[in-house]
Amino acid sequence: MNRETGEHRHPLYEELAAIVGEEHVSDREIDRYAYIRTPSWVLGRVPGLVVKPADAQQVSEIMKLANRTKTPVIPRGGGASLGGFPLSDEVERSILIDLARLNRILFIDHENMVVGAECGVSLSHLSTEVGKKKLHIHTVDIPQYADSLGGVLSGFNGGGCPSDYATTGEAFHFLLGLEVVLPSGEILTTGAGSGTNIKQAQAADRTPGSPDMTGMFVGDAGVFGIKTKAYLKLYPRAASLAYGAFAFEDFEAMKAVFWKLMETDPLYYTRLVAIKPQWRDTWSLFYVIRDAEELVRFKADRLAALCTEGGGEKVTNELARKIISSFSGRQLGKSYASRGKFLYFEHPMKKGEAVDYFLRQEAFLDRRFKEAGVEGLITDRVRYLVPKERHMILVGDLVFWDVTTLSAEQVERLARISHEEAEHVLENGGFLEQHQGLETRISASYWSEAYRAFMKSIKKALDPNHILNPGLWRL
Amino acid sequence: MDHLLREKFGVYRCDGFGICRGGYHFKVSPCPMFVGSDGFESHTPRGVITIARGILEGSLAYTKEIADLVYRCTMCGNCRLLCGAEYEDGGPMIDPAGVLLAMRADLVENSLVPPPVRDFFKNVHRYGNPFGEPAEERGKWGEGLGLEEYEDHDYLFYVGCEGSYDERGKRMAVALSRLMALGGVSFGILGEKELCEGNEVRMSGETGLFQWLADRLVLRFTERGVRRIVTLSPHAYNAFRNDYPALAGGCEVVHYTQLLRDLLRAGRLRPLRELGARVTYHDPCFLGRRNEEYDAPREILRALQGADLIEMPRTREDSLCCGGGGGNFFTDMLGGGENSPSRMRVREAHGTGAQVLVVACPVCAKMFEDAAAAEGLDGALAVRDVSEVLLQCCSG
Ligand SMILES: Cc1cc2nc3c(=O)[nH]c(=O)nc-3n(C[C@H](O)[C@H](O)[C@H](O)COP(=O)(O)OP(=O)(O)OC[C@H]3O[C@@H](n4cnc5c(N)ncnc54)[C@H](O)[C@@H]3O)c2cc1C
Repeated sequence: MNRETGEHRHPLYEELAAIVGEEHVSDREIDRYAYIRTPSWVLGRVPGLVVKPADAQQVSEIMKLANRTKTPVIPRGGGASLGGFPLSDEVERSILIDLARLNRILFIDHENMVVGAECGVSLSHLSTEVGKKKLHIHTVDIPQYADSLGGVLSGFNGGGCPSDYATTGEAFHFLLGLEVVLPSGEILTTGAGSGTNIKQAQAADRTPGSPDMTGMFVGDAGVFGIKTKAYLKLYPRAASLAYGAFAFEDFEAMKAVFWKLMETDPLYYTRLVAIKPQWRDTWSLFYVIRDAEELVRFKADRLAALCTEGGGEKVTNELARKIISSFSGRQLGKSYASRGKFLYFEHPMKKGEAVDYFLRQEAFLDRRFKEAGVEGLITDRVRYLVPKERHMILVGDLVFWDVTTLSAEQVERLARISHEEAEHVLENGGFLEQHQGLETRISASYWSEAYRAFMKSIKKALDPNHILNPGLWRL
Repeated sequence: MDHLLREKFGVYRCDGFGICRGGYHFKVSPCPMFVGSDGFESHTPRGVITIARGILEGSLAYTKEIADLVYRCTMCGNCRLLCGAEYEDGGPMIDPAGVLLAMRADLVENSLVPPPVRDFFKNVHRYGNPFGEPAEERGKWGEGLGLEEYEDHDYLFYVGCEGSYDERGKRMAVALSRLMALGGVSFGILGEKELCEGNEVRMSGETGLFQWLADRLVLRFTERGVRRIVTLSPHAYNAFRNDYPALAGGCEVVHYTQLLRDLLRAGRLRPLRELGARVTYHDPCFLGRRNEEYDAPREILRALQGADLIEMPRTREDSLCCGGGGGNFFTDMLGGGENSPSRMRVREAHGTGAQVLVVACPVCAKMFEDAAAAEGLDGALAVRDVSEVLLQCCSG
């Protein structure tokens, strides 16, 4: 039994144990305490109790109990998001719902190319299982090893960047529908489920006869409901892959090729990154192409021709791997830990304005680092441009510091620069996505009055007792 | 919390990402502490590091519950690998097991260790072995084999506590002795002069007792002029290789699978009889992940005629711990049950269609034999040691 013996005994322990079974609920201090950690720089507050339901029905009963007693509820997936944690005093008596037991893959429907799964399932497990059938889902890149399906749909713009972001956009475009437990405890199915005018248990599309209410729950940080099931489109897994990089002496020349690639039809790259690590003098265009074997060859040849014509020079695959590893995959985790904390500036911008904007942001950062006297402490820096389909470019500047050499005051100064940078983005016509590192509270502080009022009215309608993730998005 | 303070850097370097909690492509986490638990975050490496941070910052204090928690870890090292947070030179950066070890050392110093751990230390200190058996019984396993006490042999066969006292381990020690004799290896044992090498003692945070054991063993080795040691257990192999600086340079340490591989390569062992079985091999944590020896046992199995080697999905560095490391073999802090790592692992082994689960560690052998029985796999999955299957194929 995971029952607290000291003074902190949660008043709802028995009732929750009756719902989920005693071994799946704990109000022991160590069990509660462990949940305050996410990758956010801000630690969470210790929840009052942790419960691990087995299915949507149990989640619903927990929500009904929480409503009756006006107890705050915090859903939790992989705990890998940087979106923040409710921080009010109320958290002390909250119920944290750890969704890890909702980990069943419901079906992999090869014929109709749909997969259904419970939302506590880990993304890596889900993508491995569909991969065994030579199928593919669009998931996030590195954090798939930590993220849950429900967490990724709730956090970071609802699914953020799959590795083929350049051609496919955000992962939530591939979401067909959800089962959600509303704050009231009601279980609702949207889109591809049977919630609207669909008589079949399973519909095939996201908008069968209603506005796109699935989208309302995407990227909500779990303030509107708790996702318990999700239905995703499946794609054939590409049989073949090619990767490489071309180096350009001249930034403008690279930009011209980059633009041409973004405009070319049909889409012929899967991933494209213009990248300049600190240890290289030149910019490189890195690509990964995934497709059928003959198409990969065809696309790679065309890409090579365009790059060479535009003044690019092919680098060895080993060097290409080294260049990209300063920024992607598990390497990011490695660099992060070995070189210390990073400041991650990454913002989407309209394609036509992205480069000028990027150069302005870069100059701003250079100036601020210099003024703050911390520029000499940078251990590594990676600048990059990543297309987001055809219309946008993500401009990024990833700056590493060796934490061992930073004083508390310098850390403080860096945090200030991070905030000033956000202001600068807005002044420059950019916008702040809830992108790696940006708390929902920070994003929401830039909402207009009208938008805030609109969001508040939705929240109030769905969650009149204000119990689900209170305080996130400043709601 | 002196020890934890020294590990502060590791605690604060954890980025809270939680990869150590997941399991890459597996539905189930590879962390033995987590899989066998009720599944709360506290039982993940990230959770323990968070608790350690709480202790450092004064929000939490060491309690019996924390002691029970940290002694569940088997020190398998899977979390360190999953974290991927390594220095560019390849050395480990964030080692959750290192943080746990520091917490254990603090608990030892504050006399807060759980009773089974306390008894384990007591036995080692009083009898020189965790089983609480008399030292005079130590060499009895080899009676009738004509073994010699080490004098000027090529190898000292360090049998270890499991090989000396545990029935399962003894069978392995016998098989290995026979093989070495067959291969013409000149070796001797220490018999009742042998002493626990203390790997599990160190892994349980009792650094003082470990040092006490190590000093005595090193003295016995040097008095006898030992130049080469072959160990039965990967745990002893790990300790001698990594935690006995006094042995470095002057004394070569090998695990028995490495010696047997060399004997096969040199043609000094000839496995002429067919094994005729589908086998799968389990990488022990202290041989594989911690000391990167994955190939020697496999090379031996591949040399056997009629041994069809099938890999389990989690293999080599992904291998799932048997649950016996970090002192758990003796203290059983992890506990049994359907979701215990050993039972999960025998189910995985059985799932490959193998008839034999081959191991290279006396701890794994015992853990899996018990688990196979608990799973009702007695007739369907035999648990054999590399030396046992090789001996079967070598004997005329
Ligand atoms: C170093 C780093 C790199 C990253 N890189 C990428 C990347 O390349 N691409 C990308 O897309 N993302 C990336 N991310 C972001 C990460 O994928 C998201 O933050 C994701 O939301 C985490 O999922 P989770 O399961 O851990 O969610 P959690 O952290 O558990 O939860 C996130 C939020 O959603 C809520 N929530 C969780 N589960 C549910 C549910 N079932 N229903 C309702 N609400 C729920 C929580 O209350 C919380 O507010 C990165 C993060 C880090 C730290």
